[in-house]
Amino acid sequence: MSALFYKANQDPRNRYAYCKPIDMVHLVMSKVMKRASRMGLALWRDDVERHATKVCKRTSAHPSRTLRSFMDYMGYGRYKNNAWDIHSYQLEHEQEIHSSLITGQVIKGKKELKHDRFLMAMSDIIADFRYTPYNTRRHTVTALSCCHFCNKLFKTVNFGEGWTCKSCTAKEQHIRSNELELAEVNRLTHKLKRVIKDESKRLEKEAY
Amino acid sequence: MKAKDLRKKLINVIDAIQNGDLSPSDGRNIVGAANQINLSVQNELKLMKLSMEAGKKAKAIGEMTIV
Repeated sequence: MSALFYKANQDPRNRYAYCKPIDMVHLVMSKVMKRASRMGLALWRDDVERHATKVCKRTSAHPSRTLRSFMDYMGYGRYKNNAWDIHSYQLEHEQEIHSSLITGQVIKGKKELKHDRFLMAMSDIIADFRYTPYNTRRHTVTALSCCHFCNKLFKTVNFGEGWTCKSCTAKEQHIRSNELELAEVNRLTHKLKRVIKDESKRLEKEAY
Repeated sequence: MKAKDLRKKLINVIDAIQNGDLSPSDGRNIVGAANQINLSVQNELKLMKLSMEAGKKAKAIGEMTIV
């Protein structure tokens, strides 16, 4: 949470005035979680959808798309008659450990959702704010993401020009440096070919 | 062997041919071998790029399964 947002949040009138999209999503979702935990629910889709709609309308340049991705990751769950009624979760059958999958497993196993795990699961949804146009964003935005290349959680930073993924960039640079080395070896091989050609011509002339 | 070693060897071969220590026919054989090495490295790099674009974990150079 940013210091500016914390300061502004002390006054209820400024609650949504200065916060970044990431702060807003965290705030709203923590509210949702607190309310859900009071009611003995890990996930209450109706409430989540209601709050998420508000957040998306306020923060995203593509509210419908953000909301759709938001709700896809949230899945469907309701505590009914002392039993969990879980219909489906996205990425449920995938082998790789994914933040949203962790959430699903936690709900299924322990019947409760931990707050920090939940916020981690939200990181992918928050990353959807990359579609927000530059002129609507006044601060750099940071979010946790799961890299598909190295399967690690890392922080992405948006400086207004796009999301930077440090681990993936490093791998790209590694490939690029290898390509440069290869080009250098190729050049030397061609030079060797030219030298052989010249040398054989010289030998032929000497033979005549 | 690293790329710098390969480069060094190629430079040595160039020098040897220019000095007359190595015959052009031997040099041609070495060029053929170097071309094969270049081709295999090029293919591995292409595979790394493709797997990265597909969002999969790419293997390091020399770790590609052939069969």
